[in-house]
Amino acid sequence: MRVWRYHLAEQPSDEELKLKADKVLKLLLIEPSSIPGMKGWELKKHLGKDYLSAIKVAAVQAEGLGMKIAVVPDEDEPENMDRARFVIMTKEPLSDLELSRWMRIEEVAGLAILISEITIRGGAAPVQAVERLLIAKLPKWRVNQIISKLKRLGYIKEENGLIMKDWRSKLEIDDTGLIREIITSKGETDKQ
Amino acid sequence: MSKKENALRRIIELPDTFLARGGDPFVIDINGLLTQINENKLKDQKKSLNMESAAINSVSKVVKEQQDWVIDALRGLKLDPELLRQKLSAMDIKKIAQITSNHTYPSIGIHRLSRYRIRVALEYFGLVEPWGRREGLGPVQRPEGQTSEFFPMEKEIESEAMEFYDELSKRLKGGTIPYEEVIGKDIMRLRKAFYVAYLSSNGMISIRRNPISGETIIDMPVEGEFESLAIPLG
Repeated sequence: MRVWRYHLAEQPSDEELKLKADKVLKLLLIEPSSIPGMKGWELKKHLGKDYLSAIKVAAVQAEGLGMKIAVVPDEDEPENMDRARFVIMTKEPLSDLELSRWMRIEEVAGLAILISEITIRGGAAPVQAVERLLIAKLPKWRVNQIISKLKRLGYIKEENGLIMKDWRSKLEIDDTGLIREIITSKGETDKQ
Repeated sequence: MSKKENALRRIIELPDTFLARGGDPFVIDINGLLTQINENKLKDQKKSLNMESAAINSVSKVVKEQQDWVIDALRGLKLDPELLRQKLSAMDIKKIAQITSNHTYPSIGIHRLSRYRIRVALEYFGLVEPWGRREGLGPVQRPEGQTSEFFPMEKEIESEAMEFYDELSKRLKGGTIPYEEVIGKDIMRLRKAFYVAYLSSNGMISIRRNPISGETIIDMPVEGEFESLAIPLG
């Protein structure tokens, strides 16, 4: 006689969830590539199907350390968490320029100029136009380097000759606050 | 009217039918419209050219509407696009970068490159054949005696460095010492900095950087994590 056995999906215990949450923090903190964070499917591979519950617990743990876990939805499938990117970031802005060591000063400034121009133009600016703006401030040979580095790091992207903000700018930079402060700032202008 | 002509006609009339009624200009897919224009070329070349140019004119009206909407939105935030450009062009790049960091919430990650991976990378670097007529670098690992030929060093300085090491190693028994304290601020500063670099490159001391305080400290070489590794090249 054939016996059918039915298994109810078992919920992980609190202890298991805590261990998985610790693992989430480790996985998100140690970058396997130049792009921060991990995709949902990668976390699923390490943690199992209930990885989203572990991320929720990890988010509480990160909160206590002045950090938060951000979700970057996939552009094609924004609802699909497996394709989303999970990133750990600070709760407070960087403020100290010395700490932004992953980019040089001219690269950070270049990014601000690009974000401003992209915002002014409604979300996309022609490559030649942004190059002209950057060349006015920086040596020409550096401009191409900066643009390609910002693309590589996920801050900007280029489609059909137009430069747009990429996921990392949207995630990391408060563009409204940035533009407001540029407009209202005084002094320390170029001496050229 | 053919299907293609109909599609072009709809694009031509779009600004009057949609935007005139106060529709949101960002709902319109500009790339999609341009694709449609390309795909709906008519057999009658003259008519096609007329209709295509009228359709492109309509698309440009939509783009203009989008641009005006953004400018209005920026003005609503009391932000004038021209003022923003002027401010940026007049501002020092360090100041721009400082303002940007005030509004940056960076993602956090730890990059690691183990000594083992550096060693593997350098060994590979030594094996790679050079391009063109350039000579190869030769093997990365060399016998000890041969290596010293590539590190010209006055005997006097070397013995001074060893004296410096004797004194430093005694102090290091009490624990790590900040780099600045070791090299001091007197006239010997540069010379001591050279000794530190020389001793470190020989694996006799370790130089570490505290990632939190940013302070550089000097330690005795220890097996594992902070061991100095001398890799002769060339």
